[in-house]
Formats: sequence, C-alpha cells, structure tokens
Amino acid sequence: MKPGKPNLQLVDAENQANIESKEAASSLDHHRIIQVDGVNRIVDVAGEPLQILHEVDLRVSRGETVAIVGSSGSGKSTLLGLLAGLDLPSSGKIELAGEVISAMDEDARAAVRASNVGFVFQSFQLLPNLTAAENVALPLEILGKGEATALSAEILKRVGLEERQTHYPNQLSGGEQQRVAIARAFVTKPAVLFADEPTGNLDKNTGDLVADLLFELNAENNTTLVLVTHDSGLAARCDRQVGMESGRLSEKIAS
Amino acid sequence: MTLAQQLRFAPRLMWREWKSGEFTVLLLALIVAIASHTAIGHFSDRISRAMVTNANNLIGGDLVFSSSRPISAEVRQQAEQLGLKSAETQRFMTVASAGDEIVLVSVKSVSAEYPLKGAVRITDELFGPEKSVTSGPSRGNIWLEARVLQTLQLELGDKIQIGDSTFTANRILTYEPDRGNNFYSFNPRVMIAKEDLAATNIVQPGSRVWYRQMFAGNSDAVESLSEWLENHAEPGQRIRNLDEDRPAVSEALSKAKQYMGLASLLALLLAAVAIANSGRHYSERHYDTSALLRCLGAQQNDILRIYLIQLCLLAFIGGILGNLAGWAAQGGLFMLISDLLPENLPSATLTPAASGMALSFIVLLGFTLPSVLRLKSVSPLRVLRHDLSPYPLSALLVYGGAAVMVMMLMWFYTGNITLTLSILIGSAIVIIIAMIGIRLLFAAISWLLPSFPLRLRAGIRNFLRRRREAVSQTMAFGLTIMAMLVVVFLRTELVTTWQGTIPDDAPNHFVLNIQKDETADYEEFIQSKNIRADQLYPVIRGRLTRVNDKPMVEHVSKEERRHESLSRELNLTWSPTLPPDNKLLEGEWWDGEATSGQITKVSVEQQLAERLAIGVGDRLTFFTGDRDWEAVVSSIRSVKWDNFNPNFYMVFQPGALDDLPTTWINSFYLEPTRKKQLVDMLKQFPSITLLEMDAILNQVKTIITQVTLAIESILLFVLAAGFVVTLSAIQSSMNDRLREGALVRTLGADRKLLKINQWSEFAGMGFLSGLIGVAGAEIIVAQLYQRIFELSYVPTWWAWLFVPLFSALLVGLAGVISSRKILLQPPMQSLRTLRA
Repeated sequence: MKPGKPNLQLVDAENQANIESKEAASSLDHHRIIQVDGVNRIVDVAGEPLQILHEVDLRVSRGETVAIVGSSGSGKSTLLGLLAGLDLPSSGKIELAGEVISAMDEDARAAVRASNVGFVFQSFQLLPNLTAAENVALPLEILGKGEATALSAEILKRVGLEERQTHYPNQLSGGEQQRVAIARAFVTKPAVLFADEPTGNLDKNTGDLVADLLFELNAENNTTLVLVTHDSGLAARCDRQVGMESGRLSEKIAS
Repeated sequence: MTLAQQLRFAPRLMWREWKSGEFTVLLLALIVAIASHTAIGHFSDRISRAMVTNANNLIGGDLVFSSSRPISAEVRQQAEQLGLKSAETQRFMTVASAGDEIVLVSVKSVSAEYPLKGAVRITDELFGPEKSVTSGPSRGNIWLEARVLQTLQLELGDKIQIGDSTFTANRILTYEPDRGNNFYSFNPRVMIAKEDLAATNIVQPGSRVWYRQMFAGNSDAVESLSEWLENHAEPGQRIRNLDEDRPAVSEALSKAKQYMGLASLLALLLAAVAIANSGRHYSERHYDTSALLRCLGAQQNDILRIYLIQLCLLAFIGGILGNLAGWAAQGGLFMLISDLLPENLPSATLTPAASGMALSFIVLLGFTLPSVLRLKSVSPLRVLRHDLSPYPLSALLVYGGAAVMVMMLMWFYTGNITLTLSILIGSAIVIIIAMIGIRLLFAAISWLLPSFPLRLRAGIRNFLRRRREAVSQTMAFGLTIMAMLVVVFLRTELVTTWQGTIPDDAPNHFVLNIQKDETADYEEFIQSKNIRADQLYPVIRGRLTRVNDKPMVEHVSKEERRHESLSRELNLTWSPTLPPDNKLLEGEWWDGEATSGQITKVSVEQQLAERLAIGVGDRLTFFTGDRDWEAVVSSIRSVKWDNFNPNFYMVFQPGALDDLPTTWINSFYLEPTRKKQLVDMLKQFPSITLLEMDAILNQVKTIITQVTLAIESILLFVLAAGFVVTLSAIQSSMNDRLREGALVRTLGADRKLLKINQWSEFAGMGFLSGLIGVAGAEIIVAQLYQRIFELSYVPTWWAWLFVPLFSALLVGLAGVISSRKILLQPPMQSLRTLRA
C-alpha cells in the first residue's frame, strides 16, 4: 500500500516493526491477514453501559473464507464494523493487513480501507444518483486511479451486467443491484472482502446466484472473505464458520 | 486523495447528481436569490439614476453656480479638467420694444450647450401644442413668453428691439428646464443666443446681471467641483444642487432609495432562509453518500473538500444564472414601463452584477457551511447502522453564525446601521418570542389533542411528532411572511404619503402683479369663469437688514450670509389667518389688525428662523423702497413648500403695511382643455404676469409615478422570493413525508384521510406562521417608521386576522400541491425509490 501522507508513513513504520517482531515469533503470521486479540465493545445505552462484544479473539489467514454466524443482535455486524475499521473497539487489538487499525485514527483507517478492503452490504448501498458503472468506478476514483472507466466496464461484464452500465440503481432489480455492489467491491482487487448479509435482501434463487458470483470472484482474485450471515447454507460454503452468541465468539466445527 | 484528484472527482460526482436533479432545489433557491438581488440592484440603480437625472433637469444641471459678477474662466477650467460639461446663461432686466409698445422683460442669453439637462419647450402658436428642444434660439432669433407678444401686440415672425439689436420673434417659450421654484420675481422671459448679447450693448460694467454656470457629468467629478467651488466662492456667489433646490423631490428620492435598500435586504433575508433550508436538506441527503465514501476509504478532509468544491461550483453557476435571470427580469420590467421613463435611460453598471456574483458565494457558503461541516463527521459505520447521524452542531454556532452573517450582509448592503439593527433586533425578539410561543402552543395542542375530531388527529399528531422540523419550518414561513408584510406595509404608507403631496387639482397657474385697483375685477373674472382659485395674497418686496438692531452681516455666520433670503429681496405678505398647510410651532397668531402706535407682528418660517437665529420676541428691521420699518416676531411656523400654493417666509399682521407699494398674487387650477380662457384673462388684465406650472407639476408627478412603480415591482420580486422559500421549505421534508405516506397507505389509510391529514398539518403550520409574521412585521415596521422614515405608526389591526388565515390557506395549498405525489405515486414505488 501507498499511504498519501508522511505522518501515516510514521505509523506504518511502527506497525511494520510490530509485524516483523511478530513474524519472528510465529511463521503462521506470514499468512495472517486479520488478527483480533481480546476485543471488547461497550456502548452507552440510556446511561447504562452495554457490552456488545466480550473478549473476542479471531485469526483469519490470507485467501481464507470465514462466515460469522449468529442470531440477530448477537453482535456479528458490530464485529464486522470493527474488523473493517469502521469503528474502534473499547479495548483489545485489531490488525488488518499488517496494520494495527485499532490504534489508528479515522483517516488512517480510511487509508487502509481504501487500498485493502472491499464491502458488500445487505442493503446494497449504491449511490442512487450514480449509474451502475459510476458506482463501480467510485472506489477507483477515491484511490485516484486513472483507468476507472475501463476497469469498471470490464468487471461489470464479468458480473453479467454489461448491458446495464448506464442504468441507475432504481432501474435495477435487487439481485442486479447486489451484483453491481459485488463488482464495486472487487474492482480495486482488495485483500479482504467484508460482506454483511449479502443475500439477506434477496429471494432464495437470486440469493444463490449472487452467492455463486461472490465465491467465484473470491476464488479468482484469491481474496480473503469475511461474511456475516444467519443463512446456514451460505455459511456452509465458507472454509470456516465462527459462531457469535451474546457477544462471544466460538469456533464452529464445519459440518 | 490529492487536491488535483478532488478537483477532478468533485465536479464529476456533482455532474452525476446534477443529472438526477439533486441540486435543483438548492440551485433554484440560489438563482431566485441572486436574480432578485441583481434585478432589484440593476433596476433601482438605473431608475434612481434616471430619477436623479430627471430631477436635476429641474435645476438645469447636476450643479449650478450662480454669481452677480461674471464667472471667472478658472471655474470653467476646473470643470473641464474634471471632465464635466458646462453651459452658461446670463439674466438681466431690460425693456423690449416693437413700434410704440414697450414691456419690461427678463432677458436670458444662453450658450450653445444650453440646456445641459432636460429640454426647453416651445410652441409655434399661442397655447398650441408644445415641443421639446435641447438648444436655445439661433442667432438673430428671439423666443418669448406669450404675454410679451400680447403686450407688444405682435405675431410670430415680427421684429422686436432689445438694446441696440433687432431680433425675429420666431417661437413662443413655454418652459425652461432650469426655472425652478423662484418665479415670483419674473418679468416675462425672452431668450436669445449668447453670441447676440454683446451687440445689444446693454450689459455694461455696473449693470445688474445674474450669471449662471451649470455643470453636468459623473457624480464624483460633480462632488469634487462642488467642494472646489465651496472653497473659492466669494460673497454674492452661490452653489446649488438638487437637495437644496427641490426639497420635496430629493426627499421622495431618498425615501425611495431607503425603501429599495430595505426591499433588497428582505429579499436577501428570504434567500438566506431558503438557502439554509435547502442546504440542510442537501446535507442530510448526503449522510449516506458521505458514509459510503468514507467506508470506501475517503478521508474526512476529502469529504469536506469534495463538498466545498461542489458548493463553490454551485455558487458560481447560481451566480451566473441568477445574474442572467436578474438581467432579463429588469430588462422586461423596463420594457413594461418604458412610457414612463426618460428616453435615454442610464445604462446598467457592473456593480449589481459583481455584487450578485459575490453574494452567491457568500450566501451559499455562509448558510450551508454549518450543514456541510456535519457531512465531514458522518461515521462510516452508518453503512451498517443507518440510524447513526452525525452529532448535531451547537445551536449557538449555527444560529449565532447565521445572525452574524446576516448582520454583516445587511450592513454591507444598506450601509445603514440603524436600519440593520432595527431589523436584526426586531427579528431576534420575534424569533425568541415565537420559539417560546410555538413550544407553548405545541404543549397546549398535544394536551388538547384528545378533544380534536378523530379525522384531524393524525395530521396534528404528525405536526407534533416532527416538532423540531415543524418549529424550524414554521419559523421559516413566519420570517418569510414577516418580510413580505414589512415590504407591503411600507409600500402602502409611502405611496399614499407621496401621492397625497400633489393633489390632482393642485394649482397649475400663478398670477403675479395684480394691482390694487384690479383685485375686485380679477376676483369677479375668476368667479364668472368658474375657476377654482386660492385666496389672493398681497406681496410687498423687502429686504431683511437687521435683527435686534444688529446688521445681518454681524448677526449670522459666514455660510448663512449667502442664504437667498439675505442676498435678494423677500416676498412679504400679510394675512388675518394662518395660511392653509402652515403649522404654528411657537408663539401665537394675532387676533385682528394692528393698531397704530403698536409695532407690527410677524410670523417667520421655521427653517429660515433657525438659519438666521431668529426667535419669538426678536425685533426685525426691513428695508422697502426708500425706508426702514420694523416688526417683532410673534410666532414661528412650518410651511409645506411643495404644495404648489403661494408660500411665504414672512407673514405680517394686517393693517400696518397698507401704505407700502403692494401687488397681489393668486394661484388657481385650470383644466388643460380650458387653456384658451387664459387669453381672455391676459386681454382683460394686460399688466398681470401669468405663469403656467403644468410642466413642473407633471415632472414632479412623473417622478412620483416612477418611484411608486419601482416600489411596486420590487414588491413583486420579494413576493416571488417568498413563494419559492415556501416551496423549498416544504420540499425539503418531502422524502420523509413520501415514505410515511407510503407506509400509512400500505397500512390501509385511504387517500381522503391522507388529504385531511395534509391539510390540517400544513394549514396549522401556515396559521402559526401568519401570526409570527404579523407580530414581527408590526414590531419592525413600528421601529422603521419612527427611526428611519419619520412617519407616525398605526398598527394594522386587520392584518392580525387576515394574514394568519390567508397564510393558512396559502401554506396549506402549497403543501398539499407539493405533497400530491404522496397520493398519486403507488406506495411500492415510493418505498423502493427511497430505499435505494
């Protein structure tokens, strides 16, 4: 990655040192892209502290696909937000792509996200005023890449929406919108893809097609996939499943 | 992202949103604001320059320098250096003759440049149709007033002798642009070319000649010449400009300018409300975008800069489009009223356009920045948890900032701190009272809710539930209505006051030099012809020489010594009663005639008394003909100089001045169609001097019509701005309403119920806004009347009932019309569109 600011490089250098010392400690670290140690998340609800995550530990290797499963309100999405650096833990440490994002300020985390992370959301999160192609090109433009138009056209073709490039989100079906979102997620060739209930808003058939596409692209790009779902079928397609219950994480045995 | 990337990315993002109409409301608000600002700016700038020009026509130039000695070449050189045009005239009294007949005339010789402003009017036959020309007579010709022809028994084309020269009488002179108010001393006027003057051999060293040099040109140059002349004028020389010469006109102009300043200011305030409103709306609609961009890796400053670049672009586009629209609007306006305007309307200046452009940036950035700053602090986590909104900004920052902005703008805009503070304090009081009032009202309504009819409850509950938003919308409508009411109230008052100054039957003729033995016959003539005439006033010419035995030169300061009341003879009169339109300010009016042995009483006009430091009880010495006589000041009175009746500085008690040489004067109104009767009058009373005032009267009336029209058209702009504000405010809550409406319909509510809900919600809001508007307008107008316009204030009681009802109807209608989408659009579509 190439951070844009000198002060960021200082932080990077520090992290690099961290990583190097860790590498010496464990050869497994070499393949590790996400490492979560003792993370707690406590929020204030009507003046009372509410603990959403309890001492969460998690390790994800490069290229691995991991499903976080659990019922509504178990804390899956909170964990996902923390893993992606959208929020900070109350305590504990989170490393993403070799950076200790739990110690970074918001802008530094944004820089990490820009170059390493892609997202797919349950509610698609496409900008309503942008066409499919423009939505896909957005992360490239944030990265300042020149060939945004060509790359977005290419990947839209890959997800089968070649004909719908100039359509606006409200002119697309839910499944098509999610395919645009997947194209947007992969267009920067991120190291990690976070998906939050990617098929939650879709019917079974469409959901299956979207999931197929997600896994295909994942395999093609050798991306690490972390997805949050309560769909056991979808979870079963992952290399590994972890269960979340009342803010505590437990490793599930693949069935 | 680097700045270069942002500069490339922001317009692209904007362009995409632009295509989908995201900026329409904000841009519209901005365009309306800038358009009304520039249209009002251009219009009032051009019309007030036209009015000044037109009014300057009455004195024949922007500045007039008069002297009893030839004016030195140095003065002309100075004017030339400053780039001013100048013209000169000489006036003197002499005898004109034709055959055996002679008449005393006032000769005016004019240079080739005469007249600098306005036009001379002449006719080819007695009381025939007038035509305007912008030059004096050519060499060898003479233009003369009708009564010269009458007295000399001449026809046009006959020869007339003045001094050593013979002239051909080829036109009848009916109007000189520089005649002004001073017509009492006129003998009939004749006009010749300046080049013919020397050959008459009349003007010799020691002759009594009045020299006048008139100047016109750029106002800065006029100003510097005026200053230069102040420093170089000698006794017996006088500088005159519009303010001094025509108090009525300049007062109308200055009030009109103040009014226009106020109207533009209120248009600006409305704009600010609209822009703040749509700015907030715009920012709220971009929380998601902002969160997503952050999620995709954009940094806080990226977000801020992207939106700042977009705002600047928008301000630029709004400034250009607003300027174009404003330009078109003022063009259309001038076309509509072209009949009333002088032919060579001053061209537009760049000032309103440039200030409109600057204003576009100031207003847009100033009033949207607080909202846009919030975009920066949107948490990226919002992509997962939609309920996360950025922390609200402190109210002090938002409202305090806006108040400071508004104050700076107003001050910059009007240059009048009293006006600014009046409006600002008035608005602040209104806002605070209204805020408390609305909250109390809301509490009362929610307490009373169970007793409302069931069908109305949902709408009212809606209103209550969106309390925060409802308060700010009600305030926005309230301020809008307040601004419009202030403009309407003031317009009505000003127009009525002005139009009252000159009634339709104001005297349009003056008769001077009626001899004592003619007065009875004259009155009989007037009665027999059924002419509406004022009373006859005796006139004695006299010079004020001493106050309490002290010569005037010692009594008054150097500046006041130049006052015309000292430099020339005054017209003095006597009257048993206080003349109409005069007001006694100090002392008492006399009862009956003066008895012999008692010193005569005199009533002095207030401004003159002030300038000459004369008070009740002072003894004044006058000089008439060959003797001094005395009077004691018994009262001070005010005079309405602009009522077109004979007015006097000094009015004496009757009885004491009977033995002084006296003539009588009179004024009357005669319809233009009966002008031929004037010929009979001149035949029966050949020695009288008849002055036609129609031209001057018309000129003043035209000015008033122009001013009124300007004010009314400006009112239209303000009203239009207000309406757009109303629409934009309603539109900004439309998404929530659409979503709610769709939900309620999905849950089974019928359209009729929704419609009733909408009506009760919007009409309730309109009614409250109307109340706020009236209260605010009353407070502000009362302040303005007292502090700025010096008018007495009467509360407009009808407004308290009418305006809230009207505003309930209007806001209700506007709300229901713009919410009809909720009823028309299938709920599924609303839900889907808003979801995406």
